[in-house]
Amino acid sequence: MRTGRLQVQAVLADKFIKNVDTCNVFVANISDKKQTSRIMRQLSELCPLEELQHLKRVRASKEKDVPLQVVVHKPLDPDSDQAVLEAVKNIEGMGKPYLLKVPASPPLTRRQYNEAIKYWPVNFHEDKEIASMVSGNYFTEAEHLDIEQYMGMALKLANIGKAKGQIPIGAVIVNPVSKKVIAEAYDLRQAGYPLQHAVMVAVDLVAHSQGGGMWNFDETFNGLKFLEVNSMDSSQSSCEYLCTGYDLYVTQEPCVMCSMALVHSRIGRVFYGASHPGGALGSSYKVHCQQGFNHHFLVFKGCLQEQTDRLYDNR
Amino acid sequence: MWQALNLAKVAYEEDEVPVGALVVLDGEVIGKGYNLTERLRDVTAHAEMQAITAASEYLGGKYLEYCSLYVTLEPCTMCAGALYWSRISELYYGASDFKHGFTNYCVSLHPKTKVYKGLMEKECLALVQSFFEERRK
Repeated sequence: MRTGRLQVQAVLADKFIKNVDTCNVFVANISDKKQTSRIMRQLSELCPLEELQHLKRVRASKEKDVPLQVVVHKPLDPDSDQAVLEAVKNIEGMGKPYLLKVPASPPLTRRQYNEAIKYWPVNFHEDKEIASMVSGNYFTEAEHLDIEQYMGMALKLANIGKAKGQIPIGAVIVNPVSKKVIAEAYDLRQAGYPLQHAVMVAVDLVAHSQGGGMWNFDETFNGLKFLEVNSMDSSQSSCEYLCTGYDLYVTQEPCVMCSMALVHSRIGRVFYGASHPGGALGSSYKVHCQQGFNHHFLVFKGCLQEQTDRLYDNR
Repeated sequence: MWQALNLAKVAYEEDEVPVGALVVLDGEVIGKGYNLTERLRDVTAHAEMQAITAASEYLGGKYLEYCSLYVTLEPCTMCAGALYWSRISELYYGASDFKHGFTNYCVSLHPKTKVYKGLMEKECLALVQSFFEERRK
């Protein structure tokens, strides 16, 4: 993991971070190993694993005189449980089922896997991308330098805003493929526009760059910039959403409104510096991976955090 | 709410998803807007965002305390966030949005904001439904 002034950290969905949750299932002992394949066949006919596919059906028992244990059935309701237990009663060579705690869902990270197998052996297909995000090796050295550079721009914009009596939040929207900066913005809410948070201004400036835009910005707020339409690169086709494929760099974690605006505009990735207790990309909510929303994006926090935190020392 | 619905109808005429919104203070409309996401090429140009922007410009201040917002469709999460920041006193909306409406997600408005829903619900819903039915043809 990279140390020093840049410590970029992925903000992952809770499912990757949570501890392993368990549920009770009926298991039974098999005393004669040679009978295993027949018992398995009979079991898979009578009671398939269904939502417990992540479990290995059989494990070597820890007890001396019982070589194997097998998963029989996940309890549903007393009546159907009774029916299943009645049906498996006649399977030869299998003991009477009893309840045991097993992992309730498949492990998504190595940490969860290691925790899960303490209960029962499970299948695990490691997602390389998630693994590298967890370990902090997701970005190359060159990418780290880019992140640092763009966050540096956002910091400068925050200070321009600050000098104009605004809350010091700066935002930059970049096309990571062409490396062109599409919009440079800072917060304007202290100027009497309650919705003109730095991110909203940046998104609106992207709309300006595409010949649209909702807000007209006062000329006294110099430093706000967008790339003119004629210099737009062709990698962005007009049928795509506002920020498709773009990256946002912002000095402070966006709020609910701004985060949802980023969902609407289909941002590619978000990098922020300082966390905020009311923030919606990790602190209070995780809008970027909220189930039910029609777009999800990657979020990384802690970019140039030492410097961004300094902007909000007095909070 | 009639006025908000009329704004939504203007949006409909302009081939925009028909949502209209107004901000009212002491019986006077101080900000209005209808959805313009297509024309402004800005997916954040929802009716509520424009109505709030216009109202705060009118008042020359950040907050819309003592104001009410009337909107034909339940606000999305972004607009709910915007309402939070505006500290609006009352929110009235017509049709519920079971897919994108803010009440489907655990997003909260400002604790001082009172919410009233279902005003002229049928009319508001019918407009949105006929818009999408026509589009699908």
